[in-house]
Amino acid sequence: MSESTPRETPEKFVPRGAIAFFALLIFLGLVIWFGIYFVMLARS
Amino acid sequence: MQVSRPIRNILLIELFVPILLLTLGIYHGLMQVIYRSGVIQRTSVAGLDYYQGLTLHGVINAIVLTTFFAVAFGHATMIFYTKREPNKTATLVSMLLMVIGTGLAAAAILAGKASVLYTFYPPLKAHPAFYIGTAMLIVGSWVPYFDWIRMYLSWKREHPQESTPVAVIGTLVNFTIWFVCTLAVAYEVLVMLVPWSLGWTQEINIMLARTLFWFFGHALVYFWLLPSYIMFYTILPKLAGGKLYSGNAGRIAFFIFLILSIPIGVHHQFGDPSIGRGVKLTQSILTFGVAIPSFITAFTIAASLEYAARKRGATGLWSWIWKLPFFRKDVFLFGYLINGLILFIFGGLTGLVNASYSLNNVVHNTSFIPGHFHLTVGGPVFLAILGMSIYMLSQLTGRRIYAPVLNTIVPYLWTVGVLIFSAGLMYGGLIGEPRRTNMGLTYLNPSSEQFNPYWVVSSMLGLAGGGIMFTAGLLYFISFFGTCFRKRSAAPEIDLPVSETLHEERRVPLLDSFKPWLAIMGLIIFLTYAPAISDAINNTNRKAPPYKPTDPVPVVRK
Amino acid sequence: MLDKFERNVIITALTVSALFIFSIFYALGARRQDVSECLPYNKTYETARVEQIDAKTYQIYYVARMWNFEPAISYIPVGSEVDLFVTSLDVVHGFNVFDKNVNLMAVPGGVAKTTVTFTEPGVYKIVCHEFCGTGHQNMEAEIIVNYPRK
Repeated sequence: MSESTPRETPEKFVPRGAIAFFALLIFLGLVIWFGIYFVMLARS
Repeated sequence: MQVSRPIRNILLIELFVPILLLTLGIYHGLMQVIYRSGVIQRTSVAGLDYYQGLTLHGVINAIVLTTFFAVAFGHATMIFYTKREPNKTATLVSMLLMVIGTGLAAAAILAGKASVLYTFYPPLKAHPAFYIGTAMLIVGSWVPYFDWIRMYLSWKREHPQESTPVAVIGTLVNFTIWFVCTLAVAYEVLVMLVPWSLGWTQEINIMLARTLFWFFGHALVYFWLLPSYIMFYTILPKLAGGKLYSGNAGRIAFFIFLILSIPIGVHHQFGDPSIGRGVKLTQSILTFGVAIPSFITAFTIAASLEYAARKRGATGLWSWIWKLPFFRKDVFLFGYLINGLILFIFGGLTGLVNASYSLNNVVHNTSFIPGHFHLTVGGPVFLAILGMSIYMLSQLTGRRIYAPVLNTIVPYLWTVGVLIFSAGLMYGGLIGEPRRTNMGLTYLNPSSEQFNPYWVVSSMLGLAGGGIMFTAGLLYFISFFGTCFRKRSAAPEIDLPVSETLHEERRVPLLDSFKPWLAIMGLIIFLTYAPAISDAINNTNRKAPPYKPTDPVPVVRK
Repeated sequence: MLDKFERNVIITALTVSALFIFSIFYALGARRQDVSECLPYNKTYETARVEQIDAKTYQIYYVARMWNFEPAISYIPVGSEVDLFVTSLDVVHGFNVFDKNVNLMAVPGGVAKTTVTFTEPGVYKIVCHEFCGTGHQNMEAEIIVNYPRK
């Protein structure tokens, strides 16, 4: 693995990308779940 | 590190046998999408009946492959992290039980005497060899668990101040879940089904059998999944060139799995009679609890990978993703694990739908369900098994991987296939397409009165995706079996990549002790399952004799 | 002990779960979206029949067998509320009504019950979706909603 690039120290590392990913994951979860939920309500 | 020759050979058998059988399992995976889409309109092809093949597909892929691998990988992690070897006799006995049991069950299925699918719901009856063989496989997988507890305790005595490695916690949690949940299915099989299938008892309580099966059946999926989770936490960050963002997150995730994997099995039985709605609703809500560790894992692994990418100079909110080592032969395992995670995004989220009480009415037993679980057991579970099996094969034999380019693209190709396949099946499920059905004979046979044109598109998508999956499987077999025939070029060893944690973490006693978690586990299981089992016994007033799948008249003892 | 981002992840996941659970309760209460009810079993469920309770209320008692449902066809007027009772006399069968949230298991010795309202006329197909032997793929029934306005 390349160690040459300037590395952030662990203290300064803020996982912005992972937070963005997690937000997208939650959004996708809401879309899928409520998608089926409204299919259910439409069939009642 | 070096491993003694007998243990090495046993591990190699435990890796080789299931992959060999997998050729048969994957063959019938392809055949199923062909039958289902109506391309062939027959009950059997080449002497293998649709439902017989479906039984093989389920038993081999979901029980044999996963159990053998969990044992082999469990041995590898325990040996590697505790620097101790398991007892040779116990390891040998365990392997023999598993191999002989698998052989018995496979013989019963191939003889056409056990076409009952891998859930073997009574009152459909299989040949006793099928039940006894399955029980031997399970009992064989119990043996190393007790050996590993010994290794863990001995390691702990030597390192009283050190945190137990996450991989060891994961392995022990997984086999604790496995041991407890299989007690129920062992009771179902050995006490109820075996005497009944031999004709010693006349009738059994079907709801009780189903409830015991699902006590085991959902914990089973975590038994499949946790080896992958161990790899995500302890191996993947290292492969990406980074560190694990939080080791304690991993420990918390594993302990939540320990307490919540079992008391949610009734969410497979929402449509069942006899079990009260309170029990169903409770177990539905607890299923949301067992989703928490997966959300924790999603974030922790994303953060670990982001750290690796940033170390390589990545910037930007999203563009760091492209700095990860995709398509690299030297870290091929990264490809297997990351593709598994991508599939699990969809697999996990659709799983929440299935477990959500009344939402389950929209999808239960439709093809939405296999659509979902090919994104889980056919996603992170299967890909981690394939990747780690060839990795360990190469190390334990000291042979370099054959056709490494093929091996590197397998997970990507597989993922494309599964996404298409599962999209088709889930879409079909939402418009009522049933699972476990030879639809080519009726619903997708244009000359049948029962032809249903709505399912043409969905089953064709299933066919397209299934074809790609089969191709990926073939490429993998070339690489795997090719490796077996190469010349030894290095000394045999076990050397797992080890991810350090990003931050220095102090030992937290609560996250390094099994006792409190085991107590909570026992309590929750008792509170949720005592009423479920009592309902199943008290509300079911007629017991059932055995039936052969071919005959509407029950089997009568002569 | 735990990183603050990890803590926020757990809180978010719990919040989303709470939203889902709340939505399930809303559907249970306001929209009567229920799952199979738990009834003690007795022999009367083994007789397949359609019973009219009043002008808009029906009860259908289904009996599943290898490989058919009885009653194979039932006629129901538009707008009826129908209680469905399903049991099996041999192996386990499945019971799924198209376009409706009816998804039950027919288990010998037990009876699954749910209630459904048919507001639209049409032919509602029922398929068996649990493997029940070699004739499984033939096993269907129908509820025809338009009767008596033919």
